[in-house]
Amino acid sequence: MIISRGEKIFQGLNYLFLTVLSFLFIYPFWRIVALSFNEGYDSSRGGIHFWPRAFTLDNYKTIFVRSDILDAYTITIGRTLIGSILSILLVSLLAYGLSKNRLRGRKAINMMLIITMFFSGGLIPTYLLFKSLGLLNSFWVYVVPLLYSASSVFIFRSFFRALPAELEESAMIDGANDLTVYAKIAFPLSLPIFATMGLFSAVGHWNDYMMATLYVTKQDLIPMQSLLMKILDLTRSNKGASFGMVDLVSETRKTVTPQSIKMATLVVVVMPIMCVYPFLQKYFVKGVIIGSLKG
Amino acid sequence: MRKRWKAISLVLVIGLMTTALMACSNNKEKAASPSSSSSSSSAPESSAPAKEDPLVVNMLLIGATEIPQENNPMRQWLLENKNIDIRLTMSNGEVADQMNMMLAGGDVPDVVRYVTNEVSNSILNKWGDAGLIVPLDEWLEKYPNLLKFSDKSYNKSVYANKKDGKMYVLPVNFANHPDVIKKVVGFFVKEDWLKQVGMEAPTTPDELFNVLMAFKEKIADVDGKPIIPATFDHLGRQSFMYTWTKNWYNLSEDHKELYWWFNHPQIEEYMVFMNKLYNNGLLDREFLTQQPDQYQAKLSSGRVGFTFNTHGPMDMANGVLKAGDANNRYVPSVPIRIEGLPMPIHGAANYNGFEGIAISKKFAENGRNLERLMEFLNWNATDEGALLLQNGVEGEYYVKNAEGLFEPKPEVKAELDKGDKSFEMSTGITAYNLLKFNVVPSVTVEPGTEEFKLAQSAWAEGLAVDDNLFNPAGTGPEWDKHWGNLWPEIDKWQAKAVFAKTEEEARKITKEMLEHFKKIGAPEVTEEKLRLIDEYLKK
Repeated sequence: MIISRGEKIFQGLNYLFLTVLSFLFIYPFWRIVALSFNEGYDSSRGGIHFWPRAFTLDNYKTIFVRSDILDAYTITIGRTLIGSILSILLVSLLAYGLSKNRLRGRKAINMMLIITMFFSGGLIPTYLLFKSLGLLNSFWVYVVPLLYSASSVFIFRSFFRALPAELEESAMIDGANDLTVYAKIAFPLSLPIFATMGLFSAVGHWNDYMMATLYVTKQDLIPMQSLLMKILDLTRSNKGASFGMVDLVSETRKTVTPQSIKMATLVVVVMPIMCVYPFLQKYFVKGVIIGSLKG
Repeated sequence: MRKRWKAISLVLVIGLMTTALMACSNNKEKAASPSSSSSSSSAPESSAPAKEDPLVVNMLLIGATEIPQENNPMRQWLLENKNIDIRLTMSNGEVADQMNMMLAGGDVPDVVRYVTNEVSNSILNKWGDAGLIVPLDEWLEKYPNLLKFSDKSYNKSVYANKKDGKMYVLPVNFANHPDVIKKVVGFFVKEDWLKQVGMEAPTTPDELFNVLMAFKEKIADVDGKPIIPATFDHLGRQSFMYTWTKNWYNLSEDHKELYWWFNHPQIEEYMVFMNKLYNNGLLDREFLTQQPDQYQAKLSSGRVGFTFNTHGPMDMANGVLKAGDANNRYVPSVPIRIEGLPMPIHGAANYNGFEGIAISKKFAENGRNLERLMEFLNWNATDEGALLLQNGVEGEYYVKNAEGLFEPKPEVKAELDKGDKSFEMSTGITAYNLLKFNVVPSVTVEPGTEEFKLAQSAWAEGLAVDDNLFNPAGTGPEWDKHWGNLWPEIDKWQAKAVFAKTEEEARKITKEMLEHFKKIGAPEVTEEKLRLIDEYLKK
């Protein structure tokens, strides 16, 4: 294809613009990584832009040396996996049902779901409900309350509605029931939305800090986010704002500051979930039902 | 057949009623009071000398950041020697939310220690109103040591329940007490630069000007970058202003006149002095706009001659500088004073409690529980108890040095120096010092850097004891309406006045500022505060 000079210039500028934009997005993260591998006191002099000036792993050691970090990771990974899988399964089942016009009481259920989008229970009633359900200080407080989300149901429902009715009808003619159609027709055709919503749910679980803060006091049940916040608080109170209690010339003190711990903490929190993104990326861009109907 | 059913029903009803009555009579057992406790406790002691079961105390620390490992030596020691098993849990969320949720749930752990402030104290008193916790007045009277670092009138105005006047909280307020407060904020000057220019640390604005001029003229660039004779962050410039305004508020002795730092008659002289520094190239051009990282980078690169701050950023800067040259450091400098004006207050001790302890009614229903817990707390309040709970059993972690002061063993010091509290968390030391009391005067070697120790004398003058009047008097609707608007205005006017080209212009701008503050609520806020103070005094 021959493109004109003007188009070439436009493309060039386009690439330049997108490159600059990408850099603006990526650079802050990269700087965080660089600072997390740099000695804390040295970082305080400023001037670290791309690479660590005084390399150290001490910031990460401070985080990973704790005995409770394994518990916290287990809780976080556990709730992310269990919570996301259960949530996606239940939400998609509900949405699949609601996408069918033949479902009785569909409007009432929709209305009930919509109400939850506009009005929340409030902190105290929610606490009382969790208490009566025995969810306080339990692992399931991370999972059960987040199983259903009205917005996710509606997104799934819209997606299922867009699936060709002929597919379902042909499956029904072959003797499939609703669950079979859901599992063997709707699910495979809806992988992009499952992946997207699964990722949203997983990120939500991974980042959630409030559940543990409000409803959990058992220390062996706190997730990674809460533990990292604790480490940050501790470092801040004990080292940074040390009010002169710190022996600054001792080797252990030079490398770790609240700021450097914060940077390492950000990396520890963000990296695992960032690693998942590339594997799900293809689902975001893939066509939904291209080629599903032939002949 | 019918008669048989009737008989069975009758027996069942009587049985149920008897059970219910017995249960009710058990529940009627009241919480112990100090006067009744001696008789109730002496009976079992005389008849049954056998040791009681350990007192199990489930204690929740709201707002804490760390609790010790579950099985730690100190908990074991307390179990064996004090027959008490303190099981600590913590929640580190928003204190008010946590307390409100417990209030709504009607369920409070045996003992709670919470971070005190106006909101949390009010919620705690609602716990008292709801009957979730017990009043402690009689116990506080029986064990006066528990409040030995407190001020009774302050406690009454701040903590006591407004409805029934009872104290449901045992305020834990040691760290800010006048006897032990550390001097943590003040001026810093670059020591090696002072030596280079052959001058003493400044004590007045004129001396400061001369020192900064000498820095500007005689100190070479640092790493190719020009030096900054003086810089301040937000805390610094506000505190430097106190040289002229005394503090962020200035209440006259007779409580009839009140000025804020932004509308103080002396504020003009501050503006003029800052303008003089600026126009002579002695003041950092970014002093109003710099971010914390920028400010820290200037300090840590050793380019600043004079500033004001806490030890935190200065420690960090000194850490970097001293690594290269032990003489390259910032040292605390005395307050800058003006003859005829009051001593600026850069830090104030007060009786405010950082934390408070409350005891649940459920726990206190067994009178002996409350009695034993209060006995333990009273032991905690003694020098013996505080020392042991804070430092562990003598000889185990801390030993007496030649001067008779306790200091950590070298291996313990190495652990403590890690600064991650892992030692405290594994041993349990400090954690069970529920009152957070220490021994006054101190019997331990005080930790701290050389600069920190220097500051204890250099900044001593700038530390005052807060009057017990201004804060407890509270605020009103005028404050709520205007304060948020007043606060940011000062920086705008400061920028105009300090960056003015001449002294006359700076004075003119400051006068305009004073007029402006009159229009945006300063008189209303002042009048309201004076009225509240007056009402508070009449109470």
